[in-house]
Amino acid sequence: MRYREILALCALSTVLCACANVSGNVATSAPINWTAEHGKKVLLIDPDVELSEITFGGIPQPHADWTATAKGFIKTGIATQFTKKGIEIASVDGVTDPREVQLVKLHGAVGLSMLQNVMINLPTKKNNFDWTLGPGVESLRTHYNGDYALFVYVRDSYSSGSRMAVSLLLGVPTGAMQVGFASLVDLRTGRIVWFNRLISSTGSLKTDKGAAASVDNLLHGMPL
Amino acid sequence: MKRPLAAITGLSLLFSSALANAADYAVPPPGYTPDMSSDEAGLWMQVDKAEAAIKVSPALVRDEALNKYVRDLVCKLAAEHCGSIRVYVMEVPGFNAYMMPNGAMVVWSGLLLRMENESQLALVLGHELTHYKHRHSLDQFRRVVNTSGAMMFVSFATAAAGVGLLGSLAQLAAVGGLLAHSRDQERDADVGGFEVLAANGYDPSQAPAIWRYASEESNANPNHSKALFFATHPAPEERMTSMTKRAEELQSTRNDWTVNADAYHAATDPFLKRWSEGELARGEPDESVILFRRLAAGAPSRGIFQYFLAESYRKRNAQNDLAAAQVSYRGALACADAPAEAWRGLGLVAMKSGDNAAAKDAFIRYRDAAPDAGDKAMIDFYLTQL
Repeated sequence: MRYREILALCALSTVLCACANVSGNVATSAPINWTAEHGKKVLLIDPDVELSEITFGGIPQPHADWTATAKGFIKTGIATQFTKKGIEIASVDGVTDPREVQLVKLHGAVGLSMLQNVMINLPTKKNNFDWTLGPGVESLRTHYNGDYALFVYVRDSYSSGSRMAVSLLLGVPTGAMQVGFASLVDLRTGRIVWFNRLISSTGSLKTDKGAAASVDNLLHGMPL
Repeated sequence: MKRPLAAITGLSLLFSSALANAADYAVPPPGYTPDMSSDEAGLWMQVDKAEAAIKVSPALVRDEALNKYVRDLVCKLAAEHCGSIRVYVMEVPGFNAYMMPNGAMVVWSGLLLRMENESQLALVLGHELTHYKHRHSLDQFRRVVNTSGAMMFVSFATAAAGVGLLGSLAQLAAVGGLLAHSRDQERDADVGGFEVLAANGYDPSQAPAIWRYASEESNANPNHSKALFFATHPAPEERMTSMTKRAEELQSTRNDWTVNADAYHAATDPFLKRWSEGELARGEPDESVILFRRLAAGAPSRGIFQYFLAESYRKRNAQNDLAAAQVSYRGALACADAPAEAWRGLGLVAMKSGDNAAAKDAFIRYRDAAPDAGDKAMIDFYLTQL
């Protein structure tokens, strides 16, 4: 998985700043507007979340229960924020329509490129936030009646006790951290109107309070 | 010099505990799902994602009749575990089937192309079911976690002892331990597969041939890297020998063994052309020649295999291959199910050999036999050049 390379990059940037780090991107050329007949409605595409424990040897061991809990907190946290803004949020889980599946996969690839671009700014993307999934996303809008879709990707890891000890003894990073991104797609044009990454070596998604703080960071600067 | 030695002793102790023989994993009861807080649930969570991707993959074969055939066979072999197993037939050329720890079983079309009867398929399916029942993936997963811990300890100890090289040797040993363990799991699955096969009355003498096919194909390819497959699997020769021995022991225990070749062919026949095209598209004509030679010999009245054998020769184009291709194209055309494309093949071979008259004749016959072929424009162009 290329995500692993990204995680390595993120790990490096965390070592350098060792603090919560948020940076956002807004497509100023694609201002927010709503199609009146649907009202203000955003589709939350099934968030891709995974929590793991860094074992003694540094291998992340995925935890199903932590993941299920954190995913619930993240979805609730996002819903709370949108509700406060007077925007309806609709969960789109378990997409099976082949075309919609391809769109979700396409976003996976584009989101990854955007995340990379945050670290190593491409010359063509300097001051030019013009990422798009193309007008094919219209089918999601027709199916679920929302003007925008929110995509969320989060990986969170925690050190086991033994890993912590190795880290202290050898002076190497434990590898435990939160990495993620959120992006907002205009389902009429395919334009990505906003993108934000989350990198943090502190915080926990295992508690509702911690998760709410992470969601705050993740949605920071969203133009809705 | 004493400290590195101490580190080595420490190492070997560590490895012997980290890489000790597998704990016996209990067979999961029907309908089993792991406890959510366990490492097994974490493993399942990840393979569930892989399974979700398979469900929407364009390579998934959705034909209901074929799926039913394979699923029913798996169900029969899995007995009480039937409800825990989900079968996915994927259109992927290549001799493979695999089992995920969550009960998802993937069968490649390349495997179905290569098997000759239900008995052979049952052995492979039984082998995969054994991986599931003995929870080999979980065992391997835990070993990786433990071994990485062992390696961490090694680099730690050797760094303290001021030894650089030892770390990498130890890492090699650790990885070697994992691979050897994987070979043990394969042997275990071979034994389990055999038990399932025999318990369901399938002729055990059909089994060893599978490994002969595998080794013949891979030996035919001078460029094929076998390193990974043979690092994780026992050599096919070894598997063939142990299976032959086991088959001989079992053979006399009953006299009503079934092979079910007819049912197998009825289920797979509609797909043979498509799967054979996929096999050719792998771009390994050395292996394809061996495969289609075997399939054509097994079904001499079938034009389709002779045609694909001819195509493999033509693609390989080694010494005498064009002549061999011509013989096989003609053989295909003499069969009742002669594919029109055999004329095209003859035309291409004749064109390559400079025999324009023969090429022209063959292309015209191809055009007459398949007037709506997708490559008609290309053939028309050839005809203007001849």
